[in-house]
Amino acid sequence: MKQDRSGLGLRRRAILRGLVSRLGDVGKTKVQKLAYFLQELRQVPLAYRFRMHHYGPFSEELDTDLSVMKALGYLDIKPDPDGYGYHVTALGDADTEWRKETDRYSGDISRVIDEFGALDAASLELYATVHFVRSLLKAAPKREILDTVSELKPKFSKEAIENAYDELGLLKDCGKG
Amino acid sequence: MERFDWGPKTYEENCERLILIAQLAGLLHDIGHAPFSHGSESDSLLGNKRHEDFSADIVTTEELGIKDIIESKLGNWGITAEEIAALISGGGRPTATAFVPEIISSAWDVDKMDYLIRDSQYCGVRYGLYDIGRLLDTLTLYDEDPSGSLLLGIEWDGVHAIEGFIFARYFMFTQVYFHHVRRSYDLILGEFIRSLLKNEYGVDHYPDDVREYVKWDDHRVFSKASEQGDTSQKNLAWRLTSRQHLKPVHTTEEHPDPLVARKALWQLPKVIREKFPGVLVWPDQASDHPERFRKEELRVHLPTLGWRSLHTVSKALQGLEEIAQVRVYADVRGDDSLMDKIGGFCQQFMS
Repeated sequence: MKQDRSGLGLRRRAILRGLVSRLGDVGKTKVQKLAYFLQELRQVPLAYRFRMHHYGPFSEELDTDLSVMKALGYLDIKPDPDGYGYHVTALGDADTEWRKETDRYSGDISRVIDEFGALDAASLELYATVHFVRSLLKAAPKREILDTVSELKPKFSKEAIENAYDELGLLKDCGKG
Repeated sequence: MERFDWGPKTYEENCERLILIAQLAGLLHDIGHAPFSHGSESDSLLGNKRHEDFSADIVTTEELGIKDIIESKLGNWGITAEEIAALISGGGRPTATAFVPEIISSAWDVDKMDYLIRDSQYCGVRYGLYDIGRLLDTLTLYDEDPSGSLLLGIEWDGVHAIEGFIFARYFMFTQVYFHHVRRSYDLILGEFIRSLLKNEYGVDHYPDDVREYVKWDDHRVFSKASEQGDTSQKNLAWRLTSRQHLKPVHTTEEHPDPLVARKALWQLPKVIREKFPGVLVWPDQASDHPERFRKEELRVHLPTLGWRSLHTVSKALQGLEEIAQVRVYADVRGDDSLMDKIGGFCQQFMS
């Protein structure tokens, strides 16, 4: 239980639980991407390591945390009966000692849900991939970033990629407020 | 085959190149394991890295020698150490041949196919056996992914072979990898190595620099353990060298009720420490989830319906639940009556 050493485990559980309970019924991919934005756009200290995966940035540790939270009765995770993906829902009560963490980051969770909560998994994959590539290629010009995303994700049109890039730029200008 | 840019090489040459790359990545993917492999990798001993990151570092660091071997022997295939490293660490760009990284690291990678059978052999059990021949015969390529990439899939008549494989892994976890003695050595090794690292570097994780990291191997840890073993103190080094492992004072079911698991994991160690001050207490949660197999959404090719996800096709797998066994170990230093006392106390607290 390494995470309990520094209170990181508690913070992660509290924030994931808070995120899921506000969304009601949410897919695993969406949880991954919203957690990515919480960490990368709002600087919420979740300390997950995201790597490029088939559906955009993905953290194995986060995936494990979701499963452990299911085993400990904080979340329910059910495969979609008709096909691909999972339904994640909040279960039972959150621990009272989580309150401090969920209160502290409640504004960040709201901001991320306001910006991205209504998007489907594919759009989130696009935004998160654009952001991921932009962070990876720090000083690269816009064109190179767009081309790299396009090469990584040929299923998205060039217009869609550029739109996502511009919108993320606007969000970045808003900064952490 | 129009989805591929084969370049000037022929189809056969490109296939051979892919096979070489997969073989090299397969051979080298675990070269970055810490001493005693997974045994001492828990509890953030690796810092911010995973063992695959160290594997990739070892492959690309010139003075460690592997880069030169790859590039001198296989340079004429256009194979670079960086390409192999990216495949190992998962940092590579997705390509049309996405099934190659899947073969190296996924729910059904060849590593798992190998270690289940090999570990069964060496542990003298048969839990890890499954029909690998049938599984390999029925593997195919899934060609309807929107990305245009080819992924691994399985033919409908291989479904029971893949079920057998997944159950084999489940049995090996419950019976061997999560055995209380094996988990106990993880705790001892992890704490002992942490103390060595603190002593050496002042931090409680392995060095990030791979050139320093590779100096840590089983022999170094064992020789430190035999130097530091102290029979009168019954310290961790003594435990390792004289094979005196910790024993659990409490164990939950493999699939405990969530509230029971929480109580055992978070409250029980606290109350034991209060009641028996001076006794070292270690909570341990052995968790693994069959869903990890489904992260990649295994696809089955059905003769009439086309492609479906494995979890909708397989009724048998739908019954698999996470393993989330909690154990609490106590270091009573050979005092059996104290052990019984703590065990009784736990039972009372948990009931």
